[in-house]
Amino acid sequence: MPSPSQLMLPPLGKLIKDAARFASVLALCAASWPGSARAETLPSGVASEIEETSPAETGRADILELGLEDLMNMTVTSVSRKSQLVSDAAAAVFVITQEDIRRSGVTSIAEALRMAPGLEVARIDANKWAISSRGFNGRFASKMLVLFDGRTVYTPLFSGVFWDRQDTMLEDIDRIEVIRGPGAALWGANAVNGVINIITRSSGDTLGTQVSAGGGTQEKAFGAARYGSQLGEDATFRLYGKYTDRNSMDDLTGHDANNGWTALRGGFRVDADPSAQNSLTLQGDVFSERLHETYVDTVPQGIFEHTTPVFGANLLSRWKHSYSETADLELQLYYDRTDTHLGVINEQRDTFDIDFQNRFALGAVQEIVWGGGFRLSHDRIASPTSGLTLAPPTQDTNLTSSFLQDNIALVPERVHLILGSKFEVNSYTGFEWQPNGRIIWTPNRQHTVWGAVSRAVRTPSRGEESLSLYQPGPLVQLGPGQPPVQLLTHLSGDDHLRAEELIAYELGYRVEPTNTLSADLALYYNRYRKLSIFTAGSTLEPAPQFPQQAAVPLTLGNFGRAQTCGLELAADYKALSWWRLRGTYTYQRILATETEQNAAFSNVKGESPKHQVSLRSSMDLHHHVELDLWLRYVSALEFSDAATGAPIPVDSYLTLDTRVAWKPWNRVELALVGQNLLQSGHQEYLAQQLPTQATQVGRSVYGKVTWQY
Amino acid sequence: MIKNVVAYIALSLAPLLLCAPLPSQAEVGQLSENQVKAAYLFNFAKFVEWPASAFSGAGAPLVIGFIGKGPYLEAHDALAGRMAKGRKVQVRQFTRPEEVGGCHILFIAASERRRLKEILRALPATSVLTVSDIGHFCNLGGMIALVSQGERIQFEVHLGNAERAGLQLSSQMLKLALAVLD
Repeated sequence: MPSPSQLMLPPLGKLIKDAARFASVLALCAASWPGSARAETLPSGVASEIEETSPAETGRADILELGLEDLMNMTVTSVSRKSQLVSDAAAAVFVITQEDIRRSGVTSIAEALRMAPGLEVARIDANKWAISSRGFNGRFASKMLVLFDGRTVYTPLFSGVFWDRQDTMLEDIDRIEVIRGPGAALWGANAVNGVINIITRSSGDTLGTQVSAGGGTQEKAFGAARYGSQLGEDATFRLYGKYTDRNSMDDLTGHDANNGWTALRGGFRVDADPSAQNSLTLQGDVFSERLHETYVDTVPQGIFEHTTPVFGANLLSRWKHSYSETADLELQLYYDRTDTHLGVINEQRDTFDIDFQNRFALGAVQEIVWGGGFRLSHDRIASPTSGLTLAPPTQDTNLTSSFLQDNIALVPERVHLILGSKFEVNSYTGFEWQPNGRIIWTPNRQHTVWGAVSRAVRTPSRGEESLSLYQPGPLVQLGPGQPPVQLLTHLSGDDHLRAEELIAYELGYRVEPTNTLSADLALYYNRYRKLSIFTAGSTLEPAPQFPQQAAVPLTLGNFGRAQTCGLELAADYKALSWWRLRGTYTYQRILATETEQNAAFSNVKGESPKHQVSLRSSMDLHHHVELDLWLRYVSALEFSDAATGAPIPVDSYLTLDTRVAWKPWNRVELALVGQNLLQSGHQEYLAQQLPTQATQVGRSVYGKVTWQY
Repeated sequence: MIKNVVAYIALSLAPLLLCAPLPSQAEVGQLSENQVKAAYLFNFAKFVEWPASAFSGAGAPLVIGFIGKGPYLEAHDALAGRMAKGRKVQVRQFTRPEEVGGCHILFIAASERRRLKEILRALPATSVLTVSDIGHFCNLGGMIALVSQGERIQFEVHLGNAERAGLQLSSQMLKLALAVLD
């Protein structure tokens, strides 16, 4: 049990200095623009039209007194619009809207995820991120399901997500739903600690042309263009193209660490409503990237630089048929191809997936949702170095899944009980089932209380089944008087691995006391079993590919158990008509870890930050100027050196992003964004899965022009 | 431990409290999207000229009709019984396209997108100002479209459609429109 003195908060002096810096920026802004953005004059002739009103009718009169100019400047409370999406959910849901993405100045989906509570987003270098929910983070964090318009985007190679590939024209994203905890996803495997659902806007909402371009210090140069139009009477389409060139981030000594990248991407989307009951969507993307990498701790090369080409293409179609307001059927098919040469491993993968879902009312109080799907993934792996091999070189994995959920209105509109389960048959572990039960109580429009108990499983990845990886090991002295010898470690997978299991207990409370303030609290307690971790063998073994060296054998097995708990809080306050504040706080704690058979966890407790705070201020000022400030704090991390076990600390950090945007006339927006302004550089993570050079995220700035017509 | 964390958060937030002026009465009661739309309709009633034949007499009311899940309730609360251009405002709700003839302004809610063609066909050729928040309403035959621009609501005008219905839009209104189409 950690004592208060072990809490890794920055020292008080540094804290006050940082807070003062932030406060002075805010005070400067507030002092320069003291008034609201509302126009001061009413159009003439209005006063004579309004009757005398009694004090009781002041509310009504307020609306009538607003002239056209007032209405055009009035911001509509989107606090409640967002809460409509969230209020019916018996789960810890946070929605990142298009407005959030635009005003925060983020340039990638991975960075946008920092706005959600309950997610750890750590930038490994310019082209890699480690993102997870509720612990167990890593470059290939395996316990989250990420969907892009219904298409699963985690790689079965390592059960993780390549975040550089998850991109589109950010202005075309409608929202990103972040749902923490298991059981909330109706389809898809791997949703152990949560689901991230990236949803793009219908092409009907992105008609017209939009062109944007800009450049800066970290975001060296970027440009994007999108064109949308009607396609006949009942359909719309859009086409987009996007290019980004990003600079490399420095290593911890301030030297270039060779991790810059360029990406070119394009795509289309067609939406059609051939009849009142049917809607059809067809969309696809194609992209090509070149990522620079600096691998470290590889055998036998040590440190080597590499340029990774990535090619990807996908095509997805979705058909929805509405029988009535309470019944519908959805069918989805997609194909996804990726091709990459990572330097340490090359992978070519084709994925075919078909899913369907049917929703209907059963009797007066029940709503049933059920469905199923089949996914086939075909890969070809090549191992250019002997340090990392996967076998066999070609493998087809398939997954058949189905689910059933019953939403029972115990007290209509007040208390709902939701029982459900997912069932799947996969090529690795056979049959798995994931039942969950949730209850949600809405005493009135302002309060919601929900609770859930769920079981979730995470099936092993291709990498875990067949891995053979050599890494530098400890330096040992084999006998007295002998010089120390560099050993290797040999990490091997196990094709008898079983799925990891989780039982999660969750509780949540949502409150909206006024239409300008809302808060959302989620608590969880997770019990994990059969976590796949490495266990050391008792004798050294020879390393055939590396003669004259011996290796410590580490074999993967389901030897780990853990209990974690945490708290996630999000609040949204519209302080004034022109000023909105949004904050989140995340607390997580690894309570206990246990292992069997001489296995050892990596420093799982240290690798997740105990506290994370995010505070955003959005102001709408005169003359169509927007000012956004975003303050973030993440507490310290501690990794263990893979070879020696020595602790490697990563300091906590407090950082500030700022965006100033101006619309000189209606069709054009100019924006200036400063990122990570409070420090010249800070480290956020240490990649230990396919380790690369540790980097620091530096202070950066970029400018952007957006033209729309 | 909790005390330290709370102290930290409070310290970060304190500067905000020092800067924020206390919200005034008018600013705290934020308007909802539907209230803003209802207010727009009231303004359009004041800035549009109907032909004399649109009203049965000097005392005839100005009727604002609604079809679909729109701001009918908010408009009824705020506008019913008010005066606009010397006429009393009446607020009515329609459920079927055939009923929509009896109004001067018709608000077509976004939920009616699929029935839009039917609704527009059912309208008399003149004297009804059509307003909607359906996407690209002006291109689909509408006269005034309410568009969301980020967190604000603006409006676009199709002058041709309005003039063909015998309606005259004040130049002040046209100046403020996001776009004036023909």
